[in-house]
Amino acid sequence: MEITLKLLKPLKDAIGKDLLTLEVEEGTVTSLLQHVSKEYPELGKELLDDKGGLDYRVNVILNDKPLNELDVEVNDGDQVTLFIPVSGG
Amino acid sequence: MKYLYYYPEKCTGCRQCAMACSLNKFGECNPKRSAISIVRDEFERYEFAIFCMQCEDAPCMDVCHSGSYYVEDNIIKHDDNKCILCRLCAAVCPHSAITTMGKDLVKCDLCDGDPKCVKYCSTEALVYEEETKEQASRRRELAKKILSTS
Amino acid sequence: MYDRKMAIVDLSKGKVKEYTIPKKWQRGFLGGRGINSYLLYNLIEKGIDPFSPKNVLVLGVGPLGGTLAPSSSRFNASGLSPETGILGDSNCGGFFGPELRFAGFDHLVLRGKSKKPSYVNVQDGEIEIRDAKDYWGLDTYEVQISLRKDLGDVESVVTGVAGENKVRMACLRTGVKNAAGRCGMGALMGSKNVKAVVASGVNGVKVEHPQRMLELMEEIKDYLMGSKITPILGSQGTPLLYEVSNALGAIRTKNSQLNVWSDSLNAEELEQHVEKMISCSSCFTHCRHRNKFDGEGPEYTAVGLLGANLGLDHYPDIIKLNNTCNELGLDVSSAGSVLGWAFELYERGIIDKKMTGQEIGFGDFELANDLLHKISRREGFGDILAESSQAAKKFGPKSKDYLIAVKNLPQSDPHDIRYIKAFGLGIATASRGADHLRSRPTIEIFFRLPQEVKEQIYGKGATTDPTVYDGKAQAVHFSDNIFATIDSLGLCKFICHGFNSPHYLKYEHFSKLLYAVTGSEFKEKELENIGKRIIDTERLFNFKHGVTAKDDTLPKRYFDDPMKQGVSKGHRIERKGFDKMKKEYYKLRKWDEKGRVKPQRKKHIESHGGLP
Repeated sequence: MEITLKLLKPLKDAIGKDLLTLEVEEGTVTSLLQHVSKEYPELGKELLDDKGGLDYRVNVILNDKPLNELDVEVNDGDQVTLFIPVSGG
Repeated sequence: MKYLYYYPEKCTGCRQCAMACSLNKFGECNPKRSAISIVRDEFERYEFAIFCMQCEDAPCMDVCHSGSYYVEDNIIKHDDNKCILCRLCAAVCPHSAITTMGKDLVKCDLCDGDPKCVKYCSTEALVYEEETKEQASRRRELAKKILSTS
Repeated sequence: MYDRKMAIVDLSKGKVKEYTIPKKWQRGFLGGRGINSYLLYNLIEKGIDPFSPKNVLVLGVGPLGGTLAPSSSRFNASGLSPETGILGDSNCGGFFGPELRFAGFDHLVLRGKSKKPSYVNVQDGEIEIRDAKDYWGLDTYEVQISLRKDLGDVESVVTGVAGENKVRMACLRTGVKNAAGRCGMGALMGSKNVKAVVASGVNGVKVEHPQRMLELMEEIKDYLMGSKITPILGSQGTPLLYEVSNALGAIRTKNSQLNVWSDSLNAEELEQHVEKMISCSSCFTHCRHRNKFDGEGPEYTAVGLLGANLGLDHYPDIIKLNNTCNELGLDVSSAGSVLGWAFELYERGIIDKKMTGQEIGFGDFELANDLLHKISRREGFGDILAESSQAAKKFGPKSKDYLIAVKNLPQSDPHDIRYIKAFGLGIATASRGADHLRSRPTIEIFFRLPQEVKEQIYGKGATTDPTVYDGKAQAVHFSDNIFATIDSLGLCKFICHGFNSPHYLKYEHFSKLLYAVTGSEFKEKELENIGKRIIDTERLFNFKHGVTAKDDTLPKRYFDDPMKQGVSKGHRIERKGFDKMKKEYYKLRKWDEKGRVKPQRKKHIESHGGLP
């Protein structure tokens, strides 16, 4: 199935583009991100923590829903947005 | 021989180099009482570091008539006890790198090979490196820049 | 604890009196915002007009200010706010704060009113009130350039044309862009006939344990530079947050009628207009842009409020509006909020051409720029807008339903708070009105922070879902306290725990830094208690000046209108949920059900004593 991955800055800088169209097997957001991290090691470095899990500072939005838990199924045509929040004044 | 090198384009003007220098040498944070000075003007839009370049043929040594300057491990050092504070060295220094303030005269001695200013620079605008190595990396950067823009 | 000095400059009498800051104040309030707020509580009578000579303008630096401590550039400017009539307090970076310390003073109180335009010169321990006739009428750049030309290497905090004209949202400026932006402190300075406070000094800040400080700072530098957030802020600055907020559907757009705006304002689009990133004094982060339009900035605040909120999407336009505000001495947050408000009122027919003199509306750069100039000179319709939220008196009662402000302070940041509930509680209870820099629990945006990490930071009962009302009082309470402490130390929030990252400087770091610099031991708990004491002092000050619990509320739109677009579609703040959060927050603060500081606590605060 086809999933679109949208990356905000600075994550998009890791691979030089902000949209990735991925052909993946059925699975969850976790398996999707593991797959991406393997395919794009530079991005993986930004996404994963020391233990190989997704760094909790990376926010994930599935279509229009922010995720607290990543073991959520992804379906054909879904868009997954990844970003690191910062603040400012 | 290792020297201090400065890249103005990387300098953000924060003055942590001078804060650390004055703290180390005088126990106070004072960017004006420091061996490295950041000259900056946000309206003229620049920041620039001034410090001793360790000249081979050093005017400060030439004009000092109290014998306060001496060379140790290739570093020009200043002996406060011999200094009569005439400030002539500061006046002739081509880099304006000698700071005098009241009873203090301060000139960079590279902190015995561990310059504090470099330690607290967050952008590598200041580096302490072997001159050959520094030149090689500077040239490489230049080459890349020219080749990518031509 | 070493001696730190303050001075009261009586502008009416032309006299200066110096004091040693009482040890009890230093212990109880540290400095900066803390001592400023305590001074305001002691010095400002009930019922005075903010433009009365009886009001004071206090400038204060914290005990870590002007040292090797990271981002120790900050000072606070405080007084009874001309914009809101309650606590006015604004924190500012740049180079002035450190220089004021080098010149010999940690706090400076300006009281009375000068007979003629003046400036206050602070140099090497001497304070002089001087004639400013050559500087009056100059914009914030020109006056600082002239002062440097006449006086040498000085740092100044100045009021612009807007402040001279007592525009209620006029800020104080130092350098090109640094602002004590909020609450109209520039108008306050202008009302005193003062154009600038100028500082220069050859003495530094004495450090009790220099080698310890050097070692500690090596660790702290590594810690800060090792964070994921530092390099992002250092290369993109705060505009990066625009894209984040937009992705969440939380960008205040066209006076919060909409909540998603153009990708053309993403931080990467800004890069081409930036010459270099630069720093405030002692900062490793360097989050400020030196832009190619002869100015500095914009911050996220300007991108949102001068961009999305005005219906503009072309970066050069926004940079130019930002620079205009900087030159004229206008607070970007209030200016962008008030313009957006007026545009909507005009669209709705609540105000008309008879009042505005011309057609006004969103998406018009020339119009916005022209109005900013008119506001600063109080010309035509600009004279009404110059009243900030108090323009509601002219616009009529219906206009208030569309005003994005709390306690008369237009909301500071471009974040629509209807989605993340804790942000709502934060701006509703903040001591200066709608402002994120008082208590925004930014960590709420980290949606995947594990429950235990969240509880570790905010305390028991904190919840991970940002859209529920439970456990949010803890988050705001924690942030309120630590932000007050940070503002009183002289540090910048950007590198501190709770604002940008769960991994920045915490009370334990503050404690170590304070010991190295002052030689005094402050336990972590004590530092947190100082934050709480400051919040209570500000609460007492506000209640003295007419605030009650019903003012701890939100703009009507945030309660009644669901958000229209994106991730946050359908979200609003439910009154019941809000009241619950508020009640819990009062309880954590140990305030009574009417939000009042209890008499015992008042006695404790007042026991720190009056002027020596």
